[in-house]
Amino acid sequence: MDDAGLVGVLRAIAAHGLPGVPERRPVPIDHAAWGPLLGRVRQQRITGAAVQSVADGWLDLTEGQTEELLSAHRRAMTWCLAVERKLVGLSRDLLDAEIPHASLKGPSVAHTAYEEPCLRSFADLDLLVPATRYEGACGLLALTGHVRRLPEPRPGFEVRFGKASVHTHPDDGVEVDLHRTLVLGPFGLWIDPDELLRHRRSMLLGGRNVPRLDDTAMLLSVVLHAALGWSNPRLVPLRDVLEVSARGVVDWDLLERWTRSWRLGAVMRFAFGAAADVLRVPLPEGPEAILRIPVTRGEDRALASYRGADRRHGGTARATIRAIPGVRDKAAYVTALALPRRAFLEARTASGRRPSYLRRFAVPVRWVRSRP
Amino acid sequence: MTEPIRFAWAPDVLMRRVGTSVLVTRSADPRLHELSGAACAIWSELDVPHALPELVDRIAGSFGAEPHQVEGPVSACVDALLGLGVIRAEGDVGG
Repeated sequence: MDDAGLVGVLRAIAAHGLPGVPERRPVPIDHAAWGPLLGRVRQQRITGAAVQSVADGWLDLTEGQTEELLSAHRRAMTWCLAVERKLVGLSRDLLDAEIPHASLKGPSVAHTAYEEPCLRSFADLDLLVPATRYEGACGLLALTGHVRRLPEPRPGFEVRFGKASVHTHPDDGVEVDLHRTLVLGPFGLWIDPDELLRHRRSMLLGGRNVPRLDDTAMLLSVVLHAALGWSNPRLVPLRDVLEVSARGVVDWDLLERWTRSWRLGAVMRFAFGAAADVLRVPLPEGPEAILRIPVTRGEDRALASYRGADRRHGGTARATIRAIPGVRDKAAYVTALALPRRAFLEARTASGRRPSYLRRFAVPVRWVRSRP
Repeated sequence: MTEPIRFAWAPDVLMRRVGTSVLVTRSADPRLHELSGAACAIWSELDVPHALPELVDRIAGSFGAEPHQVEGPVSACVDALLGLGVIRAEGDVGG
């Protein structure tokens, strides 16, 4: 099986069970292809869909291959349970501290949109809190023994311009991404996270009601994640878009209003288009009106800054500067990144090298020189 | 008339299916347990509280056996699951 064939099987696994996916004839995987395929299944975190594909008869594996797949899936699910245990505990702590919060992505999508949570793996925990409570939530994580991976460039930077901070506890290694908005860059500035937090529901997890975004807000969050999370969208976020669209109780009129207000037309079009194209499934009917919303050049430029070469060469930072209202705030953003506090510079400097503001200034110069 | 003791999942369980097995843990206990075969079948029945005789009948039915053939193993499995803390007993024996 060549690489194109492998990619085809991988995408078929990721799409298995979605509405509109045709029944497939059994596909055996030869010995030479199995190792690379399993590696990619693990890397894309679709072991659950692969196990289901075997159970449903189209992914035709040998006994040995099946055992290896189950072993990989067992490891993935073991980790998911560790993350969920963490989520239950953190949610309790945040509730006790009266910090509103919502679980994003992973656990919330797994337990609501997917037919069974074993079909949706995840590796970390994402929590959204109001910007006004962000520092308090960071403080609570520190008090409970979590270590923050990176300091802010300057105090208050993340609440004004950033997306999230990453915290880990040495005892369990589960990464907690504490968000004050959903994405970095212009779209993270244009959306209103407090509005999303007003659209929450609960999910029963480990005996507790853990807050999560309602299906409409959850769909918006997975669309952003699919379109903007990586230069090349990953399979699970694309699947999430279609899964929530199909199985969620989505208020499409509200989603359309948010799309218009928060300039997300280009993002919506890209996410739904990529999901349908990569997973080879028909577009759902729900977003039809949203996908007809005219897209401005500004939105297209902003979206382009998250993709490909532009993303690697400072595109998101430049787009963020354009999106920040007011000269004073733009200057504060640029100054914080150009002249961060020492602790940030040290944390961002490769091991063995001396922290250097000069070397830091050279980065945007390289970006400008390397642009076509 | 006394209410029979019923058995059900502990309220704080977290679980995942892995093929024909199920991984079970609790939010307050990091130990992880993998249930397979008949234990998995018994576990699946206890998402709804069942008294032991009901559980025995259901398991016997699903395995095509007579209740008396499975009563011992089912009872032993329930005891084991109680020992792990992943199921709880509900209801009083009464006086």
